Amino acid sequence: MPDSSREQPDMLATIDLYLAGELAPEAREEFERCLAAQPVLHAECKAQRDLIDSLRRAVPAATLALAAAQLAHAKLVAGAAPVTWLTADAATANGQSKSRRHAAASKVTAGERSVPPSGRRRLALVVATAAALLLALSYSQLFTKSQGPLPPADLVSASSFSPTIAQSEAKQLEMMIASKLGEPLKLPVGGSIVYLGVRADLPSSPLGFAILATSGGKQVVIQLDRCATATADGAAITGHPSADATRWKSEVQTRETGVFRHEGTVGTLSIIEWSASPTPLIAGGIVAR
Amino acid sequence: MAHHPPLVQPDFSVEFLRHHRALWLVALSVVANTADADDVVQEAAIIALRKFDTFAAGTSFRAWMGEIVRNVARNRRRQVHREIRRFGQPADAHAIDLPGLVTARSPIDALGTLRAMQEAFDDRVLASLLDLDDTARACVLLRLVEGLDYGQISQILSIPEGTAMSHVFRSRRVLAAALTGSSLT
Repeated sequence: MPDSSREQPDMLATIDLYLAGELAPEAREEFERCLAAQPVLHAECKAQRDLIDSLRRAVPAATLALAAAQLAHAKLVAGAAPVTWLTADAATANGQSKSRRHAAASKVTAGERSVPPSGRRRLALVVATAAALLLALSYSQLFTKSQGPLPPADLVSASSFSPTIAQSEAKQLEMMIASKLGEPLKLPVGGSIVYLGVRADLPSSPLGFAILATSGGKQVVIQLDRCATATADGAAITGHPSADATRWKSEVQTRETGVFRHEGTVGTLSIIEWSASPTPLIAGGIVAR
Repeated sequence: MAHHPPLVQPDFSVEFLRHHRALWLVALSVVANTADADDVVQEAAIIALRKFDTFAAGTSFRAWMGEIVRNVARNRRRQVHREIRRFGQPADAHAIDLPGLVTARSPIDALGTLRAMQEAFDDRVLASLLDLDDTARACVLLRLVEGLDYGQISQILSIPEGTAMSHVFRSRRVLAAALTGSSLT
């Protein structure tokens, strides 16, 4: 069989435009008539379509959550503010002193901003650190029970959260998150958010965004990204409309638990962040590899 | 002369998310490993944020970021090669990894075709893809997977449109020939 693509140098270009949907309507109709009439052309077109399908199957599709996670991590490492939407009360809970907040609000001078942390702030940081450590311990126990021991490097430690953001006002957190989602946060029955934090010690790892919460006395991870339902082991995911929901859902369904694996959960516990992308997005969840 | 308002930090987020997929494919085409591609884009984002004030407003973010990604990816590849020379190939080394997309699928697809045949075909496509050079591979991925037009590919890879087009056409022939020789006859 002669190599048709060499005999007709423009054929591949036309197929390329046709498969990319870039042919003008008249040209498209004409090309489709040719396709129907010329078996060689039809075979070549099919081969190219198979090639495209194969490549698209091979290259992972759902990277939107990863993109947002990488963005947030990059901001953190590069010194840009990772969280811009904490309310004043949340900032207080985060250990930020009133004087510092007021100073920031009134655009004080650099000299005033360099005032060392107050004793109150230090105390708040210690408390928050201890809370994170306690959560880490109980968290590790939870997953040790259900999934077997985790490597120590994967466990959350107090020093792995930066900045340490502890928030005791669960309702307020829920409202903040709901306002970003544009819909009520779907927590498991009896669930509440108890912690919001970001890991800073995994410079080369894809990060996950999540909220550690409680459900029926158990700690769970809420993933604020795509639609899914609560799992038998207590993890839950809330819904967020996005163009990628279907693709993500299909990826989710390929996983054993139906949602995500716990192996990566603790190691990638991180913060949620709202992104001002064209489609407002709270990216989240577990991006483990 | 038209005045372009300077881009500010929030614009970086929007642009980064908009072009992330293409940037990731550029990284993948150089490092040929999805995990490394993740790391490359992550590192590139940090670098880009740190020097975002040097980005000239009104120019192409895609081109600017694409160059950073390519540089980081090449450094990454050099680093990996150095490590391989020093320590040897790791036991779990693989060229392009495809997490979860193959192993978790049903053996029968919606049309009742045995997936093994499809996977063998996909494997051959990927193997052939690895035979291409970086730029050709990037052109193929950006055109066939991401669906960018040649102008966009030209921007992100800093090559002329005609070069991008000829890379895609030539690579398509190479890939098709490799596949035709084995299964599509």
